[in-house]
Amino acid sequence: MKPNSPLPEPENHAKLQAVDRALAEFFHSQLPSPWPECPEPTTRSSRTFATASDQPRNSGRFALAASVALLLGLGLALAPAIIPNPKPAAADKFTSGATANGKDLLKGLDSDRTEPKAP
Amino acid sequence: MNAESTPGRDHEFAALYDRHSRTVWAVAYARRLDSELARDIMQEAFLRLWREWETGHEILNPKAWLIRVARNLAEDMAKSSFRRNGTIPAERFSGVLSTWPSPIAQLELKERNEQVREVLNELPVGDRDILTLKYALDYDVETIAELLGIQVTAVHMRLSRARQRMAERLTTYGQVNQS
Repeated sequence: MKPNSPLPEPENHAKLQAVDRALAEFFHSQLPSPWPECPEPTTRSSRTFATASDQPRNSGRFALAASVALLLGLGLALAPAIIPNPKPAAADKFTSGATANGKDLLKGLDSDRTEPKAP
Repeated sequence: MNAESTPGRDHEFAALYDRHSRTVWAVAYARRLDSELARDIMQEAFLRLWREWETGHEILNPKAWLIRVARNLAEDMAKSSFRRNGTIPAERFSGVLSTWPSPIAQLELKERNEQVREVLNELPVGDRDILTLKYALDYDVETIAELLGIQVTAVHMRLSRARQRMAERLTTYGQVNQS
């Protein structure tokens, strides 16, 4: 017999019967027993669909949101203590009072230039 | 129309539940291979039907509507669950009936069920639909064809193909005798 040729009919029939038994046994073991009752009208509207597998996701999202909020709050609270207030740029003699045309910058450079001292 | 204000709706709802809850469970089960999850999905589908009634929407074909909702819920949950957890180990779903006579028999049944589940997982969902309706609920092919909206010949063909595939795979596990 070739490896891929179909089984002889009685042999195949026996195999399929075994499959039928295995499937019937499997599926009957999976049926809820007893069968769940029809929900009462008073409880139908208030029930929500939440399975056990959804719980970790919801709690995980909540934990993530709480962590982010905590970090943001801490950051805002500690920011003034960590970052010094920026000082005004008055100390910079080159840019103090300068305008965008750049001539004022040259003035600063000229005033800073000193005559070389004679040795 | 408000469902709460119509006493007849309670009876109609209960009658629909009696008639179709097993089919709706089977459709969900074929997609998730998880009995308890399929039960939750089945109940949720019925709750959504009730809410539709409460909001005044009339469902012309409740059976088809329930099956569609159960399918969508099962497939949506499969996607989100897979993203979260990856594939779920078969051990999680291998609960066995406590009425079996011995722990050895329970272990054997558990092992056989895990193998069957593994092979079922490899089949197309359309084939699992048919197998669940046939072997869990003992529906005939005509009923299955009507429920799934396909031809009777298509049910025969898919059923034959699925059984053959199961036979090949279960032979490798030793569940079906090699000849």
